[in-house]
Amino acid sequence: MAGKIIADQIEHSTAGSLDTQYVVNGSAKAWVHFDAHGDAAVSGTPISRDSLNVSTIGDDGTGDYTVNFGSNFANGFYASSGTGDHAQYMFCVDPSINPTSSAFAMMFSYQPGAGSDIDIDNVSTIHIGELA
Amino acid sequence: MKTPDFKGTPLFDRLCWAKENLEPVQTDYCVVYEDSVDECAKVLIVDQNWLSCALQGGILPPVWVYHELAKDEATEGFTKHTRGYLLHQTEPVEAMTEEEAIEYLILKDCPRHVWETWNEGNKPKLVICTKQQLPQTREWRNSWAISEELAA
Repeated sequence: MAGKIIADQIEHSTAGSLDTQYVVNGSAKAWVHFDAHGDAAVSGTPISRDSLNVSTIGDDGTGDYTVNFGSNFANGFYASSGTGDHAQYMFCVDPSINPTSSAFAMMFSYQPGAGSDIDIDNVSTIHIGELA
Repeated sequence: MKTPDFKGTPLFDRLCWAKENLEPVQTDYCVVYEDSVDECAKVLIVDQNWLSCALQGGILPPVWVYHELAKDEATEGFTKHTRGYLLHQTEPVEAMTEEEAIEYLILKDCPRHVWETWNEGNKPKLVICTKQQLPQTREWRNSWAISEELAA
């Protein structure tokens, strides 16, 4: 690819230097923003607004979604975080099963382990970790 | 735009290149499948950035690579992928049609037991349909199942 710079460190004129491994290891390797209620045209099916390194979103039921990655992580021990909203409430991403290197399944409910999950809009998740 | 020669380039770098250089492609199609008789039907929504990679060609690895990694991950004692190079060093696949891309995604992101036996039993366990063919609201979402009409 054009414009490739190979460097182990970057240095600021006054603020010091930084190993580029911090940039490589510390940046998100996958992210997505989607709405469970789709859009005005098709409101029954979730719609992805934007993403990186995502192949599909799984709509697994009310409040249950899966993000499938294009490039696998090294294992399931990457870090994930995210939020979503419904009415006046804000929700945090809650993994529904152990993440795998290729997929992150999540659920949204008013309280962890609640019997009924709830569909969320403005779902955004980021995933940080080592890629395979 | 011509795809650079990506063989040997990390897949993540290729996806970043695609995001910067290709227009996202939305599809009307989705995949509906039934993973278990005890659960509602699930729907796979194709990512628009991924689809642009599939239609462009020369970016994505062949789908068998994902199967190999899944096999490794299912092995007892698995801690970390050691064959990630398959994603990066295997010859990327040529440009796909929209239909081929969705078939690829079925093999990649649907459970194996679903696509291996999709047409066994009283009705198909998996269908490709348009989003317009699905219910237009999420009311009773947890009761969705593949109907005879959809299966046809």
